[in-house]
Amino acid sequence: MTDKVRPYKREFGIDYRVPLIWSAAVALAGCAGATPPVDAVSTAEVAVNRAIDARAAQHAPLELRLAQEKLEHAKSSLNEEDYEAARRQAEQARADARLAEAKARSQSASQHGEEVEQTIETLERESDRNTPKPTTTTVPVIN
Amino acid sequence: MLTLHVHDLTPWASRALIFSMALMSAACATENAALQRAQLAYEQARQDPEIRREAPLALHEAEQALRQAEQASDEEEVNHLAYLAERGVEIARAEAGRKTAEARAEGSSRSAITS
Repeated sequence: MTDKVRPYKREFGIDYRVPLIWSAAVALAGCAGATPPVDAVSTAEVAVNRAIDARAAQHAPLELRLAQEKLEHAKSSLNEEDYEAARRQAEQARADARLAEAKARSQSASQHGEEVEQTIETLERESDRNTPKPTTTTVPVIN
Repeated sequence: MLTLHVHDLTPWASRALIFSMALMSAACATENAALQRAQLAYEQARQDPEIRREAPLALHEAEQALRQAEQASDEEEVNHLAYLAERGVEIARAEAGRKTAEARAEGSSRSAITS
């Protein structure tokens, strides 16, 4: 065919309508929920594992449990080919897991901060003490 | 294409149009309880200077989820997106709390070293 017949065929030799058609097809597939939301489920699983690593079981057990339950639901919905439900459950599991992680990290930071303050207080008390009494704390004395 | 400008209408017609639009948006806003909760949570977080300063990205993500929830038509999807938005706000709040706690710990150890 000549360029006159197919004016959309540019000098690059690529029909630029192809990516358009592909993206339209992908968009339609996404809207219809026809593709299994494997990415959403694996992203949720990563988020749950991150929360566990951040010790969410200790600091945010409720949110972690919600995330784990929804992840399990998402997986069984995926097996049952209920992709719409699987996507929603996976997305909610990810949000719950991210919250569990954020809460756990926040609490760890507060705890760490309190420990630092306590250590400093102890150190200050030790250094302020003029009488050479033997120290009772396990904190190493600076100076 | 037919275009309609507000100044083409008579004052009363434009007032009626604006009033009905306001009524419609108010009806949409109050329709879904989950969405209302998410909107309230987001507004409260947005007015919190600590969250705005320490967790702008998480707050922005929550806002995006909220806007999607507001635009969704299917009720189940609205509930779902509103849930994500509300969780997003809580994530922003927790992240801000972490940053503040970290800054505090660093500040106290710094002042202890210099004193």
